[in-house]
Amino acid sequence: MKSHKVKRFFTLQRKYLCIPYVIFLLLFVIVPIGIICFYAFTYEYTDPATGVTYMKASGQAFLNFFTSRSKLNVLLVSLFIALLTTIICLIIGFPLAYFLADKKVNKNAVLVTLFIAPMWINFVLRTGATRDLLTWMGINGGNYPYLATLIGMVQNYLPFVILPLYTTMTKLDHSQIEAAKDLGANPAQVLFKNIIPQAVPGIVSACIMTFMPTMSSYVISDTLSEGKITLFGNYIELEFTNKAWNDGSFMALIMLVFIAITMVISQKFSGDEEKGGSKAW
Amino acid sequence: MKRSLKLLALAPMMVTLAGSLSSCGSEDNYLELRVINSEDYIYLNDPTDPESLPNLTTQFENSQMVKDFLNTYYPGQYQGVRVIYDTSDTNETLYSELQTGKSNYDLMNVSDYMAQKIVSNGMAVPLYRDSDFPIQNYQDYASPYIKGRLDQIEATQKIYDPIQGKIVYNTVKLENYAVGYMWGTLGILFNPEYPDFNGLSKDRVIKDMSTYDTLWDNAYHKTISIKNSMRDTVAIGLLHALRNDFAQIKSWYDEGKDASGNDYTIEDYQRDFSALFNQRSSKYTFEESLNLTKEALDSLKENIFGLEVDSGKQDIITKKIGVNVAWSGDAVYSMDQGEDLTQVSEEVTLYYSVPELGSNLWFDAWIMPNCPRSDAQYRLAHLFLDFLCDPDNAYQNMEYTGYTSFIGGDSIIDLVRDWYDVRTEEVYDGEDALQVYSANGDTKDDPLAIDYLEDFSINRDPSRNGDLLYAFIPYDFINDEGKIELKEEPDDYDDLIAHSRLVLIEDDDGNLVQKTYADLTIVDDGEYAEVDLSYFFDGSSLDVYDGDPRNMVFYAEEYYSTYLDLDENGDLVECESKSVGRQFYCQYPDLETINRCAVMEDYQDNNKLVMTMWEDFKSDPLPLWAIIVFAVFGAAIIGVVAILVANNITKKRIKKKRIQN
Repeated sequence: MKSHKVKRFFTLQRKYLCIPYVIFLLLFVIVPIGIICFYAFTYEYTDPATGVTYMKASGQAFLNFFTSRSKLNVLLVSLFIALLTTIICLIIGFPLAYFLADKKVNKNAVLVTLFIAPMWINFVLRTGATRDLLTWMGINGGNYPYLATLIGMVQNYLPFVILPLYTTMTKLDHSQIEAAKDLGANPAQVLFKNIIPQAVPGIVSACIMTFMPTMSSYVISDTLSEGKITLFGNYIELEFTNKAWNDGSFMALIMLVFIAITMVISQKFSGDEEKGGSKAW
Repeated sequence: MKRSLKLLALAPMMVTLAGSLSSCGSEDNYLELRVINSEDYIYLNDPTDPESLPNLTTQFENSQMVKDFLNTYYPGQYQGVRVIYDTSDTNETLYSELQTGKSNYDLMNVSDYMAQKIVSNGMAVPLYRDSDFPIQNYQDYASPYIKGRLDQIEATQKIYDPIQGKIVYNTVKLENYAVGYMWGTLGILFNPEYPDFNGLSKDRVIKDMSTYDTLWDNAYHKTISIKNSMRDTVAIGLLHALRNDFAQIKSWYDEGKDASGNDYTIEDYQRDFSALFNQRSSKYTFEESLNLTKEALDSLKENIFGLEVDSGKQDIITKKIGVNVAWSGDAVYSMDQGEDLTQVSEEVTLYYSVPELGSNLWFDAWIMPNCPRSDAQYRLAHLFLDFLCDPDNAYQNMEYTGYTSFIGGDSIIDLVRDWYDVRTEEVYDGEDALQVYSANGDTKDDPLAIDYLEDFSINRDPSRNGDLLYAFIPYDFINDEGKIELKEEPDDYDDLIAHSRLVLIEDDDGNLVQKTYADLTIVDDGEYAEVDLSYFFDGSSLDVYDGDPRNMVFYAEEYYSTYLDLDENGDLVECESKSVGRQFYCQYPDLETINRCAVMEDYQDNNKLVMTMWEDFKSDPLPLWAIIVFAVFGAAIIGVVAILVANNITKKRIKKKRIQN
């Protein structure tokens, strides 16, 4: 008998499962970035003779950005807020994550859930509530725009810092810490020479989770500073509502550059001290 | 203020609507009308209230006029009409959508300047071209004054003429393109008893708020919030920056003569005001006045609490702020909320001011974008506009949104009377009650009055003093000679409302005479403000009775607000502020107020300049303390890196040495 092998027209392979995601990636990540780049390097001109507007390849948006005092100011303010938020979040989150990782303190991970819980509520609603709370406490955005914004930012992004740090901390090599103590390292040395180096991947992903979203967030600053602080995100929105598509797109591109820079830095760090685990974040 | 819902009276209409709803088939050949409007800007059904009417769009779909229209023009072609109703948040969003060419709306509700811009760019088609659909209700009922001010706005279309090889300018008036919907002013909403005004008295605050300059006053430091929208805030900055010029033309107007002694009329004033306000006066170039505005706004930023888009109307009730630059409709909303004890724990009495040196007058109007549509849709759009301009429907919209309609007419007059006029107490109390006001009860002896009392179970208001008695007699009860004739009780109460404006009055001899509403005068004049709104309502009402023009004087308990101030002798006297009032003033400012307001037109080619200015205003440099913090952090990071690098280098050296050794 002749063995007959049926040739199937289509065989389901595991890699095909990626197709939905690839389509998603193309449509909602690659294409929009392409559009941003297109708009960033073109500019709208009006022909004075005919009154017709047309798009032309141009570095005008680039020039506008780097010659505009207000745009550079906004960039500086955003960087400042983002940096400060990240640092404050780390200062608060690091010890917290350390103690939460201790099984004695955090039985059944209930506590950590409590700290993550705010993340489940939509942040626009949360910010509205924070605004009322701050007013009640006397720290209203009208009088203290920076303070109110920072508090709001930290409140919003703290869970994003705690979670990756917590994941790293649960994997800390405790025998190494004990050894350091036994061998005569003082608490500061244990912290700086042992715990922090071990937690670097967590710290890096925590920074990424906080820094970039803070720079581009605009609801929080708008609500809590009573419209007095304009961040990069606000400014892009302003450009778009004013139909300055090219200038807005170029600013969005600047954001992308910042994202790329942080990605490179994080790659370097997590490449150096690959421990796994927290990379999921 | 009373805002009694007259919905009950409309209940029979609802029954008929419900009946027609159920008769709808399921086949899908409906004629579609695509409409886009701002949010919450049309009467919508309250799902929690079983007695409330269906949405206005649904009412249109099921109206008799639509049925007649389909039967007359497209018999058997369509099952019915569907209104596809969308909302958008800003004019700019609408414009962008229109620019993409993807939107296909038949009607769009936009503000004055946006209508101007869209028409200028040739993105709108003229309305009421078709003589079959002249939007008759708009012609009949829209206030000629307000309509006139909208119609005056000009749009300049730039058209490239290939034959001449240059751009040809074609100026059109909005009158052919826009049908007015709502209008109002921009002003200052404030709480005179706000605790954080550094101990300023209520009288002082009311006096101060008659000008936008107060927003710059340090006494109100951090209690003010202004609009986070470019055009409104630029307007305020401009009015402050050029306050001397505005004051000068105002004084010319008040005196009736300008500096060189020539006559200076209202037309001159409005022309000059509009020129200054739209930054095209001969005195300043656009850039100059914009720079002055920028300076003014920069100094304002120090003094205010914040910039808001939507939160201000709530913040002023919760006392987060004491002063809010607001549109008249939002001001009405805040005032109502502040008085509603189900919303607030403590009553907040707010006031609204349209500053004496002038402000912004705005319109929202319907335009028809230049999108592909069938002839039937074109006609249907006109029909829809006609429906919206029906005073009964305008009434529903006004009651729901709190904004002021373009439409006058009897229903609206009655609504306004019902809300504000002291002569009108609750006219309809329950289903079949008419009310007669009588103080002394003598009227009981009058047989005619008794007839009415018994037929309509008329309620009395014992608190009312004086010899005034009046009843509202439906037209159904008036015979051809204009005399009252008792007939059967009407079953259509909707009709009753629309036609009940004859009154019975007890004259000096104690006889009942019938008069029109307008003949009523208030017994005690001193307590009520006489508000003449004839500028708005004249010509807008089809007077059914006797052809007498109705007197449009309203008697309101509160129109202007008063304050105590020292006169030149140093005595405390009560002054009337001609620019501060409450809900009535918000909704229907008097002619003097309107005269000192101008429409803020589209910036056109200067838009880019204003935008840049606004962006500069919005972005602040980093404060000094932040720079220091930044520098310290920067130094620390550089230091750490330097130490690490140095360590590395020394380690390497040691390694090298070891290797060498």
